[in-house]
Amino acid sequence: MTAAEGRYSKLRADISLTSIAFGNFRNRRRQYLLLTVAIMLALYFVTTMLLFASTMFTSLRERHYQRFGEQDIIFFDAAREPMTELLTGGILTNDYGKAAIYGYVMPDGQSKANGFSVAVFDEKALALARKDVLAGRLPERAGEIALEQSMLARLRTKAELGDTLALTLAVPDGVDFLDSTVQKNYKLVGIISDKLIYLDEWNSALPVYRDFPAGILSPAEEITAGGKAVINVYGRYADSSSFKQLLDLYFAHTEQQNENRGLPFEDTRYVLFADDSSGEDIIITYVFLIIIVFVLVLAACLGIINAFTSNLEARKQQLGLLRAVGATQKQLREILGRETSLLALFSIPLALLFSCLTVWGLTKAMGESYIFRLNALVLLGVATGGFLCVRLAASIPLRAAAKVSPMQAIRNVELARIMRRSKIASEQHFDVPLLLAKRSRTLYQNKRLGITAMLSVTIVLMSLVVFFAEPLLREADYHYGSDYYLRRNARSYDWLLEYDFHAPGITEQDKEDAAALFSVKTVRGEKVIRLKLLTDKVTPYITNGWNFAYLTGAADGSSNEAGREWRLKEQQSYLASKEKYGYKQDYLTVDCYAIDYENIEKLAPFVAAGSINPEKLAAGKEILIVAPTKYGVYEVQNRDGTWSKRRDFIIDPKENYTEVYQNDMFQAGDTLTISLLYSDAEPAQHGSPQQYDADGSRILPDDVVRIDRTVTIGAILEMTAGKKHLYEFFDSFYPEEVGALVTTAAGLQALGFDAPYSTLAITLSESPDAATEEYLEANLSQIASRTAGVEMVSLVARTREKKRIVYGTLIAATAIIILFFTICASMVNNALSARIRAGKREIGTIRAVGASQQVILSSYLWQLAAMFGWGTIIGMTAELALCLWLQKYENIGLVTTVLPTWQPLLFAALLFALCYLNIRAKVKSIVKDSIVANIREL
Amino acid sequence: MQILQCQNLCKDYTIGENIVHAIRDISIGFEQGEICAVRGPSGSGKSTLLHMLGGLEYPTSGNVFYQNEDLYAYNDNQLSILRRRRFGFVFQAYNLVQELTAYENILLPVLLDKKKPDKKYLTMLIEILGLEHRLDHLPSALSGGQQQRVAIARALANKPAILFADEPTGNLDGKTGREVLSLLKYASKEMGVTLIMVTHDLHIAEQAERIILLEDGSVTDDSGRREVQQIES
Repeated sequence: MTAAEGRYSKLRADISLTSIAFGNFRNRRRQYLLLTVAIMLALYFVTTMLLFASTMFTSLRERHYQRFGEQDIIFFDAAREPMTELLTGGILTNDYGKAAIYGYVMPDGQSKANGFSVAVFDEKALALARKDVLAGRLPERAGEIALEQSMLARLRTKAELGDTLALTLAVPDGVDFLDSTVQKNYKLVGIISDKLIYLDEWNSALPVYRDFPAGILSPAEEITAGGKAVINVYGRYADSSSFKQLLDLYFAHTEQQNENRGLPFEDTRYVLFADDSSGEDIIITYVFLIIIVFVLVLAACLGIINAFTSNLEARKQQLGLLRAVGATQKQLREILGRETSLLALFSIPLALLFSCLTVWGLTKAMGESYIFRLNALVLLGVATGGFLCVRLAASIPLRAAAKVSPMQAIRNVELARIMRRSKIASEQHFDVPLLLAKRSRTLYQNKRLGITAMLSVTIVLMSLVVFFAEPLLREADYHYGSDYYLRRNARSYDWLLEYDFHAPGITEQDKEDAAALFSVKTVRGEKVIRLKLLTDKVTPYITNGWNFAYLTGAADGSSNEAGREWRLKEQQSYLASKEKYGYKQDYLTVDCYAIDYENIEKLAPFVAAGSINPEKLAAGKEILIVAPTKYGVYEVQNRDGTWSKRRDFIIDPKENYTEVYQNDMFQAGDTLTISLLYSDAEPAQHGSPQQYDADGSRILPDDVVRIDRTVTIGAILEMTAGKKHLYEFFDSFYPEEVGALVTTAAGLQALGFDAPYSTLAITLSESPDAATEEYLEANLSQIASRTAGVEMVSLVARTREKKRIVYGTLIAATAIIILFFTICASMVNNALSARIRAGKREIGTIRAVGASQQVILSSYLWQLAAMFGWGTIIGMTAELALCLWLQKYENIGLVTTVLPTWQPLLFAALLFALCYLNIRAKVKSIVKDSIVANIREL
Repeated sequence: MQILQCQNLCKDYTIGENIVHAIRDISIGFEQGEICAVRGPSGSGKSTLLHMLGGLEYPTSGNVFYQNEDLYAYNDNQLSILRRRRFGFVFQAYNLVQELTAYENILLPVLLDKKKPDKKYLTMLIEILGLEHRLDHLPSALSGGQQQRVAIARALANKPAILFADEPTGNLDGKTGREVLSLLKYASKEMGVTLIMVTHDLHIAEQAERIILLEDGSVTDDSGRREVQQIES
């Protein structure tokens, strides 16, 4: 044969195989339609999940960018050393921008409290910082300004675009600020999206040298004479390890060894996990996600394998014929492989299209904060992966099908082979349907294993969904008690004193303004300050609390060497503070909560001794103290093997406490001396205001004020009253500490300890519609923005979001269960349908010897029951064991969840019923024909 | 006494747009204990006639009476009961249930009837048919002749009144075929079973007392026939 002839013959062979494949396609349109639908469904589920995850990721990232900007890092005062060196160290890409801070706005004209900086941004910095213009434009000429929306509230002005703002500015001079402030008039030309209120959330910055400018000036603007701009840099990391490199470099250049004392840069990159997530949590989350994806892909592959197996089973005779006329196994595989490719090419685009539409629809339904973006990479990945998945999944049944014997064209060789190998003894007396079912089980044993496995897995998955559904739904229905909070985050205090005591907070005016809003029913205010209880008597009842560790310097078992050393130093600082500030007695630093008069009486159930007298509280004569009658201490082992102490304020008779302490410190009617020790100096670092000297000892400030008062204990409060806990009646973070004080806002004022509100809890008269919610959020945000460090928390939105996530999760889980359900049903039905088809002649024979339709149906019913029996038993056993383990050994709040028992049984029954109906229909369609038609040879 | 009769029996098949008249207006009767062969060329309607007489296929028109009862007035259940109690079938392709052993195949009609098997009778049947050493075998392990014997045993297990045999020796060699035919005749004679046998083989047909010749769906000859007794409707 010449080369041309060889090529020609090969070409003819290729065309022949493809022609056969196309021919099969044409002639078996109905079967292939079903196969296409099966493949499409399988891919649709996987694609939808992946696209949805991608959408969530995109949406969360976009939300981050909108709030914090697209930069990875903001360097403060970057012109100083070692900042310039850090900038050139290869940490950032070359694409960074600068903002030159020209001044710090003082809203009250006098102090830097509640202020913000204004700067000239270059193009790059504007883009990275996402200074999106909401109204108007960016400044173009000197004397123009654009402000973040919340800053107008900070300035307490109703100015609109085009109005002139008279601002008092502190001007940086390269070291600090110029001696005098300056007055400047700016024309408000633009409103830009808020960033400062988000960036500042937990980190109330000091002015200028560590600040996020919230006002934009024109490039044509010039700094006040004598001033020197402070340069902030907005940049992107060069790679994923850049932040670590930056830290290492910075620590190498300075005396600072850790982040505790603040850093001159802020890491604002978007991360899926917070930096403080433990490695174990991240691994668990990734493993969980991988398992989900794996389960989905596995289900998809099983569905495809099942669909192909069923299709090929029905074609065994055709395949046998092809082999009988001379097709090799390889040729058969090629024909079937081409059919598979054609199917995949047809199914995948449809699956992708429907997935995109589904995810788009879901995203639209979830609201504006969710963004649907067609991720080309995901689509390409799914298309390629889907094609490979189909080819791979189909290859398993294809290989088996290609090995079919040519004799299969004439009779069922495979079954004959199995029969020859089976050891069967005659039964002397039998129930006909039962015996037929039993024999089928023996002969089709292998095929049953897949069904058993699939059914077991489906039952386990379904049970897990049921198991987690109840606590999830409970979580979704959780009522926070209020609908909105305004919360002041930027308190600076510790056991020693209150720092920046008179810093602005939530005012009475803010409370009134909130109460005046439409749909607001009540506004509950709460103030919290740190006070000292002076006492000569300190017993273990008190010193067991971690708040008072400074008294003894004691550490619990969880502390390492450095921690123990630090506690001893704290004790030394405590003793030094007593001397410095003139405390002859020991002092217990506790939180004092001042709540509204209307709410104080709700604490009556918690009174263990004495009584609540609101008038005496308001007059500053009495105070309430939290001092449980008794509590138990027990030890728990930490993951690192060390032991920690825990306290139980409800004594559990079953618990083995190491100690039980009785209240031997406080009695109703006792006189208490309470002391407020505060400083008005701005702390070096909000949130961590302590300063230490070279050997780690605490520096005790000089400019402090001490105010002592004497009060009577009006009532002793327990932590709990029945099922209620004291913390439910407080809005601030309640540390569950013995010795905490409670009074009214008026009482606090009467004592001379007045402070702004720490929290406002706002309750609405009814659930808000979308317009009302938008109105409330806008107005409450404005009120919150008046004070630096105050955030507005929408529990309405949080509840809705939580419900959305819970319901979304449950819907997704249900969708997966439905997929598995469908695959199970399909596998069972395909197996039994194949047997019915193959046993058509047997059916005719049995009918001919006098069996009724019911007898025939019963035999298949028994086969169906056999298929379900083991799968259900194994599935139920596995899920009960798993749920018990989760309940007992993993502390994930599922203690009260009932084990799923009837739900998986109901599921199995439903599936059984569905399969039975299908079998019944199939048998009926066969017995509808005459007996002769059944037994007639093909 | 005529145990089985058909009157004006017709069967038509529709194939595409064409109608095929497989059986054209046949009226015949069969006596108790009679051995009858139905003969004719391929496609003459022999098997179709047998199937309709045995209640396996519904006629297009006409009636079949068993002991003066219209067969096709019964519902499916009643027909099934009649088939397992009063009729026995032997097919050319044996048609044994592949998942059951030889013994279980034989027992099938008895147990479908929820009766206790008559062990003595069955043992005798099995001995006569020479199946003693094959009872625990699946059909796939039996030869053609053995399978046909099992089919005969199954057909006789419930002591039927009528035995229908459709080309019972068609798949067998000459010697085995003759053996099977002898068994059928013996069963008919000894048990008083009416044997209606379809065959295209003249030699086989000549073994019968009566030969009905079928051509193109009609009876063209019926040597040894009895007069059809009209059934009062």
